[in-house]
Amino acid sequence: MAKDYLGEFEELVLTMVAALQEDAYGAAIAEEIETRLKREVNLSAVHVTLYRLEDKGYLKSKMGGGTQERGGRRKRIYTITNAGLAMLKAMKEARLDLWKLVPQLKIVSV
Amino acid sequence: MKENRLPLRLLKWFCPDHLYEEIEGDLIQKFHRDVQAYGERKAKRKLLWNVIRFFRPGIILRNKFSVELNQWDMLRYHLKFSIRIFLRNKFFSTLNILGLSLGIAVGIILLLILQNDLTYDQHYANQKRIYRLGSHYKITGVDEYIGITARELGPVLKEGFPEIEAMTRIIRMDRQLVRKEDDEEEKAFYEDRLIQADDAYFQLFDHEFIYGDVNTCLNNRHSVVITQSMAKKYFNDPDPLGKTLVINHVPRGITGVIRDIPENTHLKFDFLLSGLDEIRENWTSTIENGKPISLLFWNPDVYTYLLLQDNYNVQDFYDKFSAVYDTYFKEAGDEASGENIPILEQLADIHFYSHLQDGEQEGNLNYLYALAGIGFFIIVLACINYMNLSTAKAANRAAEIGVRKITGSSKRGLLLSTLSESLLLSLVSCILAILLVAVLLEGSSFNQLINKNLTLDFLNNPLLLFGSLFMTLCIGLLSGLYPAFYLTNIPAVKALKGVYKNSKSGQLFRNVLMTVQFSVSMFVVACTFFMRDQIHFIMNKDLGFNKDNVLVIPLRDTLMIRQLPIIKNELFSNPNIEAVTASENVMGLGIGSNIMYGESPDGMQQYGGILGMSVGDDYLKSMGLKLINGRDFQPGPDADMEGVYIANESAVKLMGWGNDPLGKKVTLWEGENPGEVIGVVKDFNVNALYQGVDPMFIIKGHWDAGFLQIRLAGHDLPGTIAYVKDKWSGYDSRPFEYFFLDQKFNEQYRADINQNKLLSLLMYICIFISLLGLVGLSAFTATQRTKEIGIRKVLGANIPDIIHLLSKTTLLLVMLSAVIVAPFSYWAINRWLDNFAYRTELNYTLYLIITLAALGFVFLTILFQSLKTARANPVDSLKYE
Repeated sequence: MAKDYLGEFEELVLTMVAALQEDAYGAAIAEEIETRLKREVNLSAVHVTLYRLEDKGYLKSKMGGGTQERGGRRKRIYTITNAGLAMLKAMKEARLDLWKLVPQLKIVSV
Repeated sequence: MKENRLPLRLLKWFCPDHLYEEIEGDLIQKFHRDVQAYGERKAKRKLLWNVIRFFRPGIILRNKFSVELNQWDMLRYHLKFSIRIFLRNKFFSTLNILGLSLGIAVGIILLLILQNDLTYDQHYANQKRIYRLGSHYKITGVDEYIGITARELGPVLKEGFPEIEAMTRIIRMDRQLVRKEDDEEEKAFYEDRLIQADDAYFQLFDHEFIYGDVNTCLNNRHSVVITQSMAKKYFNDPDPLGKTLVINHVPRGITGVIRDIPENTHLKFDFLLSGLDEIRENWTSTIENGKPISLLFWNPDVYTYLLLQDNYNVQDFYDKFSAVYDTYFKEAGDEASGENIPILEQLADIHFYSHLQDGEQEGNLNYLYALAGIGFFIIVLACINYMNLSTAKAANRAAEIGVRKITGSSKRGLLLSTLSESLLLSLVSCILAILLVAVLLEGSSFNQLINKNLTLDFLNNPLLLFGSLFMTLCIGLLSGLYPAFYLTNIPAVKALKGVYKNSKSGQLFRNVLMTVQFSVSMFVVACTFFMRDQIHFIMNKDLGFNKDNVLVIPLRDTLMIRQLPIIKNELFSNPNIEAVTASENVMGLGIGSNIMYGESPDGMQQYGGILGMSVGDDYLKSMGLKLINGRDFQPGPDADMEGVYIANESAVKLMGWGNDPLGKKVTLWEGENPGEVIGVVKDFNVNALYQGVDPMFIIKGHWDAGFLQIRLAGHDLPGTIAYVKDKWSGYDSRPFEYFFLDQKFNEQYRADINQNKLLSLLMYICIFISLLGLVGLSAFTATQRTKEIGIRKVLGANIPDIIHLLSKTTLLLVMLSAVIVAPFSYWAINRWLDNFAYRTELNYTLYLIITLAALGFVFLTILFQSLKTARANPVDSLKYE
């Protein structure tokens, strides 16, 4: 299935949704990526990726509650679907398989 | 610490609705964290940046894909529905389309007329800086505002006023014979549109040259610049440069061909002649004893146009002018205790705002506004038709609306759907209207009627293109908006139960609209007929002379005048010729006024504004003037040629001679030996009836050019004219030209006659549109009340009762309109009548007749539409109950 392919950022976001569980919404995901991976991400990029993943059926969403900090606006809480989880697992395994092929001692800092 | 509104509003604009809330929330959350991390200023900047980053395909396309496709679908659906409704009610749709297309056609034409008049003279690049110099003259008894100045003044000003960048002087020439003289066939025509100008003319007024050089074309004193159509008329060749035209016996080389002059300028010409004389005829120099001749400056003869600097304050010119006055005007001015005040008029203002005498047809802003007002109301009438018909039919469509509502149509969707019906109708009407206007402008004499040259050129006239589209849109919205709200507010449950009835307030609103319609139509009808009454009155009023059956032939030179007695003799051999006379001027063609000196108890006194007329033998008798005192001139070449005057009654009154005017001393020119009054004629109108009778003296005199006037017996006019022509050509080889006095005289009223014709046209359209609406509405009411009528008939009502029932309200509305309109029409028509010195009494029976006619028309329309219902057998209408 050629269609079922995830980009690096998509995989990252999908993983974050799975990890954050009840707290998985746009701003939180962006923040987590920034704090944990020390990687600058733009909010819009996260949103677009979330929508795309939802289109592909790896995520589903529902509206959650609002907070003071958000000016009362509700969050869209994402949860990973079975298909999403399966995809994530498949990708991880594929990567592990590949990883095993790499001779471990060859890691040299150039 | 509040986030800016602007970035979020920006977001709202492009972000899909279903995503907006969470994105906004995330952005606000991010903003608050940014404030803590970076401070408020930077956070705000970041917020804006973050919003902008959302402007990406991944977000925007979500917008488009989900919503717009749907929109298109809906639009197609609305369109389909509108067409179906349109086809289901063919009768009502046709009524609506007829009304709306007439309305739009009127709108388009008025748009063209307004555009034409409001841009008068504005196509010249320098129009804001070009001024015409006129004068206000005050000498004893004379107080005149004129558009011309002395030709000596222009150069003086140009020299003394550095702010004048260029100056040109123009003379409008009388009718001239223009002849092409070369080896080929000879062509000669009398031309009216000739002007002669300084060589600086084209520095002020820009014209598009097709051939020739703008800068040098007027350098030679004997050249002429002609328009494209003249090049075609005389040479049949677009490029006649270097060829020769003989104008007024002077051969002139053609040095330029320009594009035809547009109609909406007051400087219209076909021939522009170079070589305006610096010094006038009969003068060898403008300087005498080392001083300028002051008298010359008091005798205006040319139009002077000045090109002033940008943003020039005209007051400066007036301030500086007093020095010029002292040098050039003062000497002669003081003798006659006169005053000469210059008047600068901006070029584009001349058409509407100039009240100087300049032989120009003045633009009338009031008339234009009145026209635009009527046009607007006609459009409103058409819209009212649509509103009335569609709200009246609301009950029929209640079920449809109910079903749509129940199946989940949003209110907005319903609004759009009903609005698209009216928009579709107005679009179809617009196409029809454009066809109608095209036929009117290209295929009829409409342009002559309004004395303009309007064209329907959508490509080169963006105002027309967008104006008519905008108008169509407005008409669609204006007529559709109320019905749309009305229809969508029908309660669905009632509608589906079938108990929905047209509401009382809707009925009231329709009655109000109908009253507006009747009032507008009656107003226009009343104005048209009152105007017609007045025009009929002035054209047939007894002028104090007999203007019927008088053939007038211009006498172009003294040679012809000298041969008059012989020609006269020959003409009299035809029994159909009753009288022959000649005079310098013709009644109705403008007779100049003079200063005169008349006898009074304190010696000779000066009077201004006295008309003077030079006539030949038998003039009084031939023209039917009534001598009430004294004697007529004696005929013969030498008799009564000097010092003999005939006064009119007004002159006698002005001079205060009472019952004893004969033998009183009069001097026409200063320094002349006084002559005496030998007779008095009854007052007669030499000018159009816009003005009264001015004091006048008639003399028997010499003149260089004048008019032969022949009174014909009235039968066999063509034969007699042919006879005159035959005799005439024995003496004059030029083309034979003639006109009839009554026609020429009444031509003075042409502007009013044309306005009345245009108004009549608008009147018919008004009546037609109102009747269309009435036809629709009464047909509808009649069918809607079928059951009620059935019951009434069962209970014993007869047909007249039913008709009375159906027509009562509408007839009352007509009467109400008549009452409302009376004061308005009275006011409007009185303002128009103020133009005339002689006016008819306002004829109130006419108003009564109009009202009765309106009642009759309305009644007949209703009768016609409801007769079928009224006559129907009640069994048919009631059997389903």
